[in-house]
Amino acid sequence: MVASARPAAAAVSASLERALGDPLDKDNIAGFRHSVEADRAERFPRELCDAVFEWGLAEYLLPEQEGGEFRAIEDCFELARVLSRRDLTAAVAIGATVLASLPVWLRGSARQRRAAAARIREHGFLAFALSEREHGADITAGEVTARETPDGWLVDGTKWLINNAGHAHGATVAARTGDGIRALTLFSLSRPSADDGRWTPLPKIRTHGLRGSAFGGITFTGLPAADADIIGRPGQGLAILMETLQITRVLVGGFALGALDTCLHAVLAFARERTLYGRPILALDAVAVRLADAYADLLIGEALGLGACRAVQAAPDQLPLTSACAKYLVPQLAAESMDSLAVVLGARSYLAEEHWHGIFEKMRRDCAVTGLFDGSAPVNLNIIAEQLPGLASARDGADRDAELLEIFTPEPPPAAWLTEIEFELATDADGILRGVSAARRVVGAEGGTECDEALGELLRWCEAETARLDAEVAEERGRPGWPRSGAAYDLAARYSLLHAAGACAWKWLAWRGHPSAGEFLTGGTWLRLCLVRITERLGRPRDDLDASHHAALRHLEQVHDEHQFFADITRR
Amino acid sequence: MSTVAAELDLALGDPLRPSGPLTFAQAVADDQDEQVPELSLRALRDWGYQRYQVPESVGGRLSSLEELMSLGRVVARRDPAVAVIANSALAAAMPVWLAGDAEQRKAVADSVLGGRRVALGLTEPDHGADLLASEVTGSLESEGYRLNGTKWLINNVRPAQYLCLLLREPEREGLRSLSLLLVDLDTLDPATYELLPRIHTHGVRGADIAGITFRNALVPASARIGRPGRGLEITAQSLLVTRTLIPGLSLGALDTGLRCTADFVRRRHLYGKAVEEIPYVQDELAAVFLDAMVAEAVSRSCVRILHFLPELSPVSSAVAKYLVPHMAEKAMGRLARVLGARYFLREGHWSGIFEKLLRDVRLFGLFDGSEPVVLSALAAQVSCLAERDVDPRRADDVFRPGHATVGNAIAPGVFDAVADDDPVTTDLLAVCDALDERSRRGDALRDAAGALREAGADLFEGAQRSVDPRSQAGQRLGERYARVFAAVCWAKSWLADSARVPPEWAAAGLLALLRPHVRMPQPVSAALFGELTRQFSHQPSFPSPRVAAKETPAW
Repeated sequence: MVASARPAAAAVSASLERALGDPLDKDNIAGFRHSVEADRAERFPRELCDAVFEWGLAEYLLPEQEGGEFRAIEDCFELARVLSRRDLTAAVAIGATVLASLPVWLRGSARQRRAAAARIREHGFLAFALSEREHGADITAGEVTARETPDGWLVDGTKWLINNAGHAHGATVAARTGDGIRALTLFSLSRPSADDGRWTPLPKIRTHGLRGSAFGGITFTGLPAADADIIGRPGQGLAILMETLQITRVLVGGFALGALDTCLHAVLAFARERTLYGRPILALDAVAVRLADAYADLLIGEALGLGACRAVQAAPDQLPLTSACAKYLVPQLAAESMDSLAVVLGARSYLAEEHWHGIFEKMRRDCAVTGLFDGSAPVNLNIIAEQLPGLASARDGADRDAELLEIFTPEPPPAAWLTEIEFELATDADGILRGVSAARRVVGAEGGTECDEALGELLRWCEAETARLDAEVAEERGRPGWPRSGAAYDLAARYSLLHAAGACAWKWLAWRGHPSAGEFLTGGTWLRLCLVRITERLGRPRDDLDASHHAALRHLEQVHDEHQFFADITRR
Repeated sequence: MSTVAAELDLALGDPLRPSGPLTFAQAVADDQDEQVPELSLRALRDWGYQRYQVPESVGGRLSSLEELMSLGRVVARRDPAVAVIANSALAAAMPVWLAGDAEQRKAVADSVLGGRRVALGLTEPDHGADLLASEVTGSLESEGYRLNGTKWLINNVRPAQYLCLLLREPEREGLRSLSLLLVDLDTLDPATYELLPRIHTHGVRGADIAGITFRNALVPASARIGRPGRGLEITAQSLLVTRTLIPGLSLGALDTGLRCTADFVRRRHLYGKAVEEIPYVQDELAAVFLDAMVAEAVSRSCVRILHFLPELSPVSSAVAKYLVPHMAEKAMGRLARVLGARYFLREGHWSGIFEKLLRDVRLFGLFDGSEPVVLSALAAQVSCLAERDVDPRRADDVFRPGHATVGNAIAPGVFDAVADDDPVTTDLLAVCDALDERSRRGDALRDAAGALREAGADLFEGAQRSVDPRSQAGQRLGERYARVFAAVCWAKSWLADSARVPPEWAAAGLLALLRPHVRMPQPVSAALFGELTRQFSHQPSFPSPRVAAKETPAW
């Protein structure tokens, strides 16, 4: 292993990974057998959560202001990923605490921050009480109210389908205090110590995946709140939520990538052990290509996730677009990859036991829910579609290329803390997609090798596809109802793939030749692998296994044998 | 839908009742508890479902496989796990129906009619589809076959009386090394075999799936099904039938998935109006509705091929087994997205049946030949497309409208493992010409016919080159074959009876098969959504008297 360029993220996630021990050890509480059994019994993975807090997780969830180590969004992303590789139920429960605390870090008072920090240091869970049974994504239609009285506020109503509902010690609650765009106010509330009917958890909700989670509801009945419990000011709820969701939409990708990581390891191990017709099935190109493609999806998700994490603190104007693209695409890629890997596992994909204790089946169910968190696929596709007309007419902007390249660097400079960020509602020009052209120019100027030629062709294809898509947007945008139509969502999905191609291209430009990055990442093969996968989804015919697939498989097997992450961010 | 299937649907009553056999609530409860769904199975027995698991020739009521597929679909709409268990008798005993002697057929028939289950022991822990690698052995000694080894992932092996067992005869080699035995577990010495624990599964959690280990178990030589060394052939023939029938279960699950979603989007309000008014939601439901229609037509064509063109069933069974479960899985994924968080819940809307269906449908793509296995089977048979001078009229009965009265499809000597020619696909150009005749210049049907011609040319060209069926290129070729075959089936079905489906829908259906990622034109989408709403308003849940009265597409 090469020494880490940025000790914090890499060393910390590696340290957690080590602390979690061997996932195949059947007695390890951070192992797959425990995870699968708790899931069958619908039991919350309390022991695992405790162990992670014992290891010291709380400090990495708390900002420097509160004496913690949380400085960069990508650190959070990586930790989520490490934990997700073991058990998404635990990762998502802790993720809900992060989600509930973000509005406090962003716009909360010193007193609120101290209280949240104390709670997290006590290994407590927080709930993010936003959604309601009848309103789902329609946040402003919420029926939970906070009434102002001479003695403060009284909160009434039921929040539903929220994580940690049963065992949260506190909650960030969105309540209606007015009308229109300033209808909502966020409160940071503590669960009363006495069960006096003011804060009543509803029964646990049974779910498809994450069966051990504490999904449920909370009914508030005249729960008192003080002015000091309001996050920001009254009526600022929607604005703070928009800011918060732009960040958490980025973080969700960490769950999906962790789950995919484990599935890829599990299926690679299977493909090497299993013999059919006299040889290991990995020798069948139809099997090999599924593994290489899943690895490509992981790398794509990783590049997109990296860019989105960094954009939060370094290029927040890119965030409205890239957070929606990452939120839509990363869980989607993971789910598609798992479907494809399931074909390799065959009947084993259907068993809740046996190969690797049946973790694949659980991961597949669990990972699917990451697509729903913080805005489902249709919600995010709509967010992207609404921005497409503006983006299509803003393809210039080379003046920012140096800045964007810097975002993807292996060694990022210290970034602004969240409170200093100026959030925006829409992205005017897509700097991340510009990576495609930037890379094409570099390949064109240097050129020569076979891989460079293949790369050049792929990058030009992406440029042409962007132009086609822009033209289609220009033609369609006027149609009534277009931003909410199936056709618009299809275009948004296609756009997100091109956007991801841009992220891959920037990462390649930033990492190639970097002294501390491994050979696989500094060469051009991984970019080719990713672009073949992306453009195939966009309709470009592809060849059978090419050199990039073989290189990817070799790299996969090597990483697997070293018992490492497939994540390259932590592998430099 | 056949009359009998409609009767069953009516007899089973409304699945939205709060409790009772074959309600959604019961299905979800049984799944939750990983319980064999006894209450629902008993209701089916009381109705006489097992009679349709036994051919008429041996005292049952099974004469039409098309009817049987409809019956399976009716049950799968309510609980796919119950459908899998209830239909396993016929499927597991298929070697006996196809190759057993009179005594064996009678014995199994009596057992099934008496309510007992049958199991089919093909797979082993280390060898899934690779049947020739079987390690379970049966040495022929003077007293009979001496059995050793473990069969695994066997449905119903624990409750079954009869087990159709595929084994290797050590003294034989190659393609003729396997034989099938009809093992009577009631009389087998219990000291010589062990039933392994039930296996927990992703979906169909109520099914009793387990394994069996033999230790010097002795079975009389008379238990052999068919001639010695014919196990692989008989198994292959059996799979032709079961692979063709499984799509009925996928369709049943999709029926309910679609209804469940349609019901949700009209009740749910977001942003001040019903979710069903969001254009995206209408477009998605329309696309799924069309897929369901197409998948139904393809399933129906393939099951009728078993009766009227059995020599083509090595191709059609693989097409049905690949394409229909695949389309149903994809369609369920789209519906899940429309349902949003509700798809993830095991309670609430329609008792949470959707998420169970989502898990259950995944089984249908896996068992009795997974996707790679059936695509390889197709790729291995593309050479039959090279056969010239094939009379397409041989397939006429397959696409004739209405229900056909049929003879005995499940009988010895009907099926071959490989097709010599393909009278359906080789009629492609004539089909395209016929579509052109129905179209006006430049309209959607003409474009779709053009797409079919293009896909056909591509397939015929690919069929001329030799390709390893298990390679990636082979898999892709298999998929192309499946889609073109299915498109011709859809077109022929429509040409034979175009009264209920407008030409624009026919065109969109062809493109749904040939270009599955391209969205249909908005006006077609709107019309399909309108039809779906109309059908749904008429009868939101089952049973559906209107559907029972006459055939309709999809539901």
